[in-house]
Amino acid sequence: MTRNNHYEAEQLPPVEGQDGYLGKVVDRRALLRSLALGGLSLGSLPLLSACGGSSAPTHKSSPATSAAPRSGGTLNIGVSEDVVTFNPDNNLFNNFIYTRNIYDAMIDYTSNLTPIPRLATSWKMSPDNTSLTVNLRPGVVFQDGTPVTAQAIADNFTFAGNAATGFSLISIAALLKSVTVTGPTSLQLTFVTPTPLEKATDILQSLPIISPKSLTAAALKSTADGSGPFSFGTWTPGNELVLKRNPTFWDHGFPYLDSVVFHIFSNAQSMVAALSAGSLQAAVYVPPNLLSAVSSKHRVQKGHQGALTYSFHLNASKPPFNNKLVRQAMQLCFDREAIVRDVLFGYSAATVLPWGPESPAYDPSALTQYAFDLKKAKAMFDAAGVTKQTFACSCPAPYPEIASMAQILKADLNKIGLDITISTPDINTWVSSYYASNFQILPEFEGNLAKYPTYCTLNSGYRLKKNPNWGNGPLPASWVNALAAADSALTPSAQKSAFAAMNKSLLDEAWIIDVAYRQSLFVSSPAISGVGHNVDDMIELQDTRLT
Amino acid sequence: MPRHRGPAGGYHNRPRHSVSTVVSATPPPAPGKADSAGPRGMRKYLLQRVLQLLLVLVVASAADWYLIYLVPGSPVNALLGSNATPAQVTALDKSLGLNRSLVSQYITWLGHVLHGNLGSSYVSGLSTSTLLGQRLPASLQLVIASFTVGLLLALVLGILAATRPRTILSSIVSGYTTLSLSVPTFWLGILLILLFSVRLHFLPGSGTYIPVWQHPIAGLRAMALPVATLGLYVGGIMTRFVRSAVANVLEADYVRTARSVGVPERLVILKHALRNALLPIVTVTGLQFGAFIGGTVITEAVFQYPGIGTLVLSSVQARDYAVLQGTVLLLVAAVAVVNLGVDLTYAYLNPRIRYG
Repeated sequence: MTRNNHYEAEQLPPVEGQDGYLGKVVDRRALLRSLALGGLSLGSLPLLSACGGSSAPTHKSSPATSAAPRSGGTLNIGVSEDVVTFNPDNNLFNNFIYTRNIYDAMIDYTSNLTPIPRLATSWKMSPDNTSLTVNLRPGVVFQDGTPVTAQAIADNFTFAGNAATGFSLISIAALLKSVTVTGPTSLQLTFVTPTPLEKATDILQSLPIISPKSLTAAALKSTADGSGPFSFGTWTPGNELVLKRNPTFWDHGFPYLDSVVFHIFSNAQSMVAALSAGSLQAAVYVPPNLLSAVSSKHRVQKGHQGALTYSFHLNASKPPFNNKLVRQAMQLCFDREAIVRDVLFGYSAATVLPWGPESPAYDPSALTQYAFDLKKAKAMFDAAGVTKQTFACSCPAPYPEIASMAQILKADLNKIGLDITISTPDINTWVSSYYASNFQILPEFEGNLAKYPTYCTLNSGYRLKKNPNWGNGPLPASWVNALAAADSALTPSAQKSAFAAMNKSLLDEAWIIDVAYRQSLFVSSPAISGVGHNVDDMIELQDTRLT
Repeated sequence: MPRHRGPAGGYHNRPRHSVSTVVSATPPPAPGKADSAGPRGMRKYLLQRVLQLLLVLVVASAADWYLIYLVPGSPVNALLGSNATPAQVTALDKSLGLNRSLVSQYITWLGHVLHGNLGSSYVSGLSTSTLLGQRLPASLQLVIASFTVGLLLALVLGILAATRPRTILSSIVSGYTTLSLSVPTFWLGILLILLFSVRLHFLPGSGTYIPVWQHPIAGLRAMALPVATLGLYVGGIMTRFVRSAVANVLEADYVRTARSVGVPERLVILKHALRNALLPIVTVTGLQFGAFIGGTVITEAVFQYPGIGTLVLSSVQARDYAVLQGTVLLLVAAVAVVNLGVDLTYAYLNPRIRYG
């Protein structure tokens, strides 16, 4: 029985009144494991540059539980946002609950971005980095019985490249010049320009594979069809989503659960109340401020640090934030320690850049260099002629922690004669104002930050074209050049230099101010084990068992 | 002759008079009037009401269409999120028909409705009829149970308070009615969840619709808290009217007459006073139904009850216009039908009332 690799966050005891962050958040075992795997990855980097993949996947074992876990059973999980579509190319946060459970990708990553075979067993980059040959695992079928073939993968790339169906992943498909089927289970991806291996594997990891029978927008509106450990059962919009064990899953012996029922709540408070009442066995994406309402018998498990980051967007196309000095001054007005301590209750870590600790672009020195400094910020504001002004800050209503962060910012700005007015429109109105570039400060959290750094351009705030932060106008040359350099950096030294240039541009231009990581919190009864999160912070239930 | 205990407590040798004797103390309808107020008149009345209903539905749908479009945002925002490109937004707008004018979209929708098609959800792709069909049984169960509980409470407490004025019981009932008006339903619902679900683990706090006719015990347990929340709310409002109506009727001459001829007090209240008191009570019930629907939406949201209320909320948030329109139509029709039922009930309660 092959135990498929599965990244699983550390399980922490429930936190009550915990102080601090950083060192208290990452425990010793996790740190040592990361270092060990990091060393293994660095040592194998020269090999990875030539080829990739292995038929014997590595994996991390899940923490031992006291009682013997058993197969079978139904897991009832609460979630506070309903699914929007079953097209996984629409990479919305709402869809994270099913993406990695119904669909599979060609590879997965460990927590430190080591690729692990899934639907693909091996992949080899050409010497000139212009094409990647991928070999698929034979004998895999979709949940409808259709075989997973190279043609099916190619069809998925076509689907992702279509503006009407590709959604977030259209940028991934745009990296490819062609996808050629070279055999029943082999295909060749040819890139538009020479591409680093790490970016190429990101493509393999990012694309969930949909059955060709369901590769239409209409079919994926209300049903899903993949090759993952669970198949689509039923969906009652606004009420529940039921997944059932996929009996034809390629990794025999998995999943353990018979079914998973996601109970959809319109707000997190109701979800936590149901968890406390025993109506649910677990709840996913629980806001940290509600943990105090959860019984101490429950376990709290954090998702991947660096998958998502809370950030404050500044509208660099309108006054006063069209002045770089003002944006740089704002960078210094965020008391990140207070945000992590008082808003996120220690379930996070401060950051000035969007990347997590596992990212190749991670730079811990930036946190010191751009530390909270109101005195310096005031001097910069005064030099820019910004005094006694009030800025508008629009926080999305479904995420109250963001408004709480804004409150901390407000209190600090008040100390230097500035102010912000905080509004909390519903998400629909909030998105509208963002599309229209009709904002001054707009906080949110972003994803696609854990992998190759240029992947960040899947977020509208980082992309080069039609960027609402810049009024859909041109972006700073430093950012454009840094992205281009990173996209074409084929050696570690070139990548290091390119990533440093990206960081320099982000901090210098400061149109997006990162404050802390957003780590999902999975709260569950002690009877549940084996829950994982991938590097995108999507929940993975393949290994999950009930005791 | 039977001996009856009169109101003063003494025994009197009085004949037992039938109820009809007391009630028919009022003059009969004028000759000829009963002929024109027959089945033909009722049919004409019903036709008028149905035509009125259709007009109300059209006006309500147009007004609702306009109002929902006034709110910033679009279903495209919910479907694409903040990382969509302008090209993707434009493409989806076009495929959903949202790039057409408001009037054009409304006329197209109205045309479909006249053919029995309420449209489809932009979010789930499911037809509005399917979504309503999924939610309607749950809401009906909740509404019927809550209204029944509320009315029963109102009848019992209202009659008790009316027949026992200036007593501790009457004060307690007054306190209850005041509280029911001042305490928001969502607050009460949350308190009930905290007590019975989170603290005592006695009842489920949220999310479950179990048809009572299939699983009576489980169904009753699942809806106990939302029904209690809504029932206490509507019961409080109705109790005031019942008490006031019954108290007024108890002062009437025929009630005094009934008592004086020895009719038992229980029969005086239930058979004589209540029937006449029911007219204003029925009127208020119809009027309250519309407000009750609003309270149902809030209660369903608090309890995550999978009914039409939560469908309305999620449709507003997602700007799911077709679903919202279909739901509003259904609710307007429901309120109108209930009020029609109220009017028809008048004729049953008071034979002097004729339509047509």
